[in-house]
Amino acid sequence: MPPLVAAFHDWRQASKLASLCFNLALEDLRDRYRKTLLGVAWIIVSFALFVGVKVLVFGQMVSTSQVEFGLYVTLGFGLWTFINAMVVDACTAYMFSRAWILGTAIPYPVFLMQAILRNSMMFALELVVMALALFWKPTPWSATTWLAIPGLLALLVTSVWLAAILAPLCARYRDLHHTIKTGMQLMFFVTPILWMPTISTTLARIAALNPLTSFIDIVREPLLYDRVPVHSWWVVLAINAIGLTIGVIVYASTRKRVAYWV
Amino acid sequence: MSMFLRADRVTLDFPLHALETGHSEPSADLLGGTLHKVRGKPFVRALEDVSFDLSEGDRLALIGHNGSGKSTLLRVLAGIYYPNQGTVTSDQPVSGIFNMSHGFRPEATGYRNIVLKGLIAGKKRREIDAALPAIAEFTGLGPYLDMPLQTYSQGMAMRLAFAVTTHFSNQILVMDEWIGAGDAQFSEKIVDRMSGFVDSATILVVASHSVSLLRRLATKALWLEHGRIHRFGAADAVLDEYEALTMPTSGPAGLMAVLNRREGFWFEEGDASSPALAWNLPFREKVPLQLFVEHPSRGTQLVANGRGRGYWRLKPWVASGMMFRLCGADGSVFAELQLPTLATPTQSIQQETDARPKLDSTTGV
Repeated sequence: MPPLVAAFHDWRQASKLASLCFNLALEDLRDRYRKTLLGVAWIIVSFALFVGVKVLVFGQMVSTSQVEFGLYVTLGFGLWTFINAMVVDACTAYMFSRAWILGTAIPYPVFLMQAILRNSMMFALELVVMALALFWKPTPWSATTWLAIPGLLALLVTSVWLAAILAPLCARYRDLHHTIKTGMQLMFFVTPILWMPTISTTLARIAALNPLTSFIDIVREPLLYDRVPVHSWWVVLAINAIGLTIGVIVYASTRKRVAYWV
Repeated sequence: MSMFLRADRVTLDFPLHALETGHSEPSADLLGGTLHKVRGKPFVRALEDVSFDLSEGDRLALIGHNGSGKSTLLRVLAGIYYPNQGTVTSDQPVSGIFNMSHGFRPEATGYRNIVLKGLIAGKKRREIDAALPAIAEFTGLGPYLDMPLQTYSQGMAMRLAFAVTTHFSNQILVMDEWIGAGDAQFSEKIVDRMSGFVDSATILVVASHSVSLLRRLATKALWLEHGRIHRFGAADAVLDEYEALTMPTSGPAGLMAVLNRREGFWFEEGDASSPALAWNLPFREKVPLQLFVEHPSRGTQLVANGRGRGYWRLKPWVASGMMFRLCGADGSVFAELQLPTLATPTQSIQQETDARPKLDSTTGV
């Protein structure tokens, strides 16, 4: 079978195992919070606390209204956690499932979907906090506000190609995982989450150069200001198109060797 | 189309860097492989030019010493490793049972693991729920199924693994060597179930060091050496030849041959000069055990330490009617034997130079 056909076949087989992906992701989540009193509610609690403290401290340094800044940070940080988790977890998607890869002939996309679903579930819980925070939304609700939803879908698409690229490469080159993890920590500071690009021209330039700004803006802007950031959408769509292409190539060319690498 | 599993000139190279990244699993297998370079990168040739053709009802025994490529071949058959050259084709998916720790979630309960295994096999939730009682019964684990898998002993985990995997397996099944590791009662259950495959339409490929088990199961045998086929043919012929070659040369050849054919605990007259007690406990070939005797004057005495397959030459003090017992490390009795009336008086039994009771253990490997 030519690699591309085989790759397509894998994904089709995996789509039939959707229930398995979901259950594996659910087990991951349960494992993480097993034997705790709060269980998965920890995700909500810790997120709320993080945001609360951040707003309290960094809110002192901005001229914007506390309410607007609070929502800005809540939405931005929530989206950041999701993006960060999907990048970092994409790296370990295969390594994490080593035992399964060597023990059963499950199509690999199952493990990628497992990581994506796991992160989406955690994000769904954080979304609860984000949705509650919208109570303080400075602008009135409008049809534009709902355009945050296609933004979230675009992020999901991103997480698919990220996993397809990063999972095999990180299994092969173990340093890559740590490089990316460190890189993401640095990216956090150059992404407009705790600061607003309007503060200074330098910050505005940094935000404009950072593609992650666009990924956050396509969800945050409609929710916060009822604006559709057209430029950001173009950036995200272009990156997704390139990413999907590379994802297909990387997946197809590595699938036969993943079992040696994990 | 009728059922088949076909390997056609399968060659598999392991990239050596895979070993550097802590790939412990197949490394044992690579001991026997040959090193070579492709475009400057080092590879180990784990399998070379392996071809065979199995059809409905075939049960193939895979033999060869450690590192001959058995596990690798099984993984290739199960679709886990992709061969570099050649192809594996089958008319339907192939199921595999490999390492116990693979494919289970230690923190989830036994039941939850059964459900996950079912989902992996592509079953609907409804079908899995319907199968749960039967699987639970086969495992014999009862209330333990509600407890996390990590609390299980290895034997318990194995029961679960086997029950689940065979229940949800496809009709083409490959099994790596682990069958003999459970307790004897469950091992019998396993052989029963596998023998059940004889009637149903299946293809089975089993790797094991337990030749006596393979004799009971297999119709064909494939002997691998350094990743290449050394012999392939009818099980009996190939297994005989394998055993003849791998058996230690010590010990009377006649007794060795008998040990390989017979199971249980019995008195072996041999050539009248050296009568012996012989035993071959299926699935316990390598399990440590102790031989005790009920001595009329001295009570229970330890005679020898050994393993599940072996023999013990009678000592001069042995008399007719004495009771011998094979016990496990935990004191459980595996087998008992009352010595029949000896044809030759014990005094004429060949004296051993060794003062201490000596046991020649012949584990066959």
